[in-house]
Amino acid sequence: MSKFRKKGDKKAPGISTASLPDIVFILLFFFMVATVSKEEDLIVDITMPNAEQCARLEDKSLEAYINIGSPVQELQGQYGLEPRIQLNDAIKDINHLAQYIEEKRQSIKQQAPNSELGNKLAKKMIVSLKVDKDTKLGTLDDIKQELRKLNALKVNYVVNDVAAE
Amino acid sequence: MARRGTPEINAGSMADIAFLLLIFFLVTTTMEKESGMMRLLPELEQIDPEEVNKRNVVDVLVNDQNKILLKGELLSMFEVRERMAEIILNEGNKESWPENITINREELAARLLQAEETFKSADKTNMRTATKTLKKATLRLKAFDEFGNRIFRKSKHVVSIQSTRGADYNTYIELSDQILLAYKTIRERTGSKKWRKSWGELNKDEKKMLTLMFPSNISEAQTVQGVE
Repeated sequence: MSKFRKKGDKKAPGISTASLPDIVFILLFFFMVATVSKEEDLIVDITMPNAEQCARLEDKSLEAYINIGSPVQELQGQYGLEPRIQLNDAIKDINHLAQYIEEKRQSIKQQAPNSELGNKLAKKMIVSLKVDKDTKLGTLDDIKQELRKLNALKVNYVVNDVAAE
Repeated sequence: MARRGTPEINAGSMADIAFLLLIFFLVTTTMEKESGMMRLLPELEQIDPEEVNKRNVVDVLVNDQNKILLKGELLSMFEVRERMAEIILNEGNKESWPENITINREELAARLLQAEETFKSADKTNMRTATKTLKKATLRLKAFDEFGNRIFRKSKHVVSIQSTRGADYNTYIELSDQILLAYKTIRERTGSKKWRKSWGELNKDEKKMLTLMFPSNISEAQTVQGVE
């Protein structure tokens, strides 16, 4: 009766995979926390300009997106090469802007628990302008004037952050 | 036979389910963080358009060839930062550059007192704004005591970026960036003179004080057509 029995020809035990789900769940939670869901697919080509002095936006739910750039290659036959406006996955004319902003305001209001807070939040709406860097300022100015008419005064120019710190 | 307990549920497929979820999230989300420049457009109908003295308007013009004209001076993009900082500070008190107003301590103290009052009477809805205002007022007074009225002055400048319709958006953003960097230069220099520390070494309050001393004031006026 020896205490140290020879293991002899016993097979090596298989590696337990019981903790695999835990590991994967940790990964899953990491990605759920660290990422944000995609808003929309761009159908206009946009190379954003670089800037050092910019800030990150905190509240995505208050943002309305306007994308400006030349249509992607597949759509150039239909829409031409000139910079166009993309709202909600479709290329639109500038006169659709009013409707889009109004829809966005309504959806912000609906998300709020009460109408008073909803109105307050709707006033805080930020229009995020994602504009291709080769766009002429005239095009942008037309949109800015339209936004002023709609009383959507908070704008945010989306840029590539190249802060060298 | 009857004594058998409930059989254990096989958890072998748990990993597969988790993987599936993981892959779903990987595909539908993005890591990219968007950063941008916040601006406030002027209201369409200003009730009382503020009368701004001409010397206080720092106008920057951009034309179709993306040339920059700063207060009537043709500059390249790299020169804007330094020049802008000079103009905003206006240390030599030039006639044609924006004026600075001396601040007196009583005024700041009165504002702090007022902020304290509002803070005390604030309810849930405006608590956050009241706290912010109070913090700002406190820091302004502190900055005044630290720097004195020779450095901490109120500049009446307004930076107005105007352009022709044919100018590039890229130039516009670069220019805005350079102008904001001009403010940063001013803050950094003042800070390093005072505390002998670089911007990164300053603490949060010191940074905030410098930002309050030299606030940016860029107006989103409409682009003009008539600039040659």
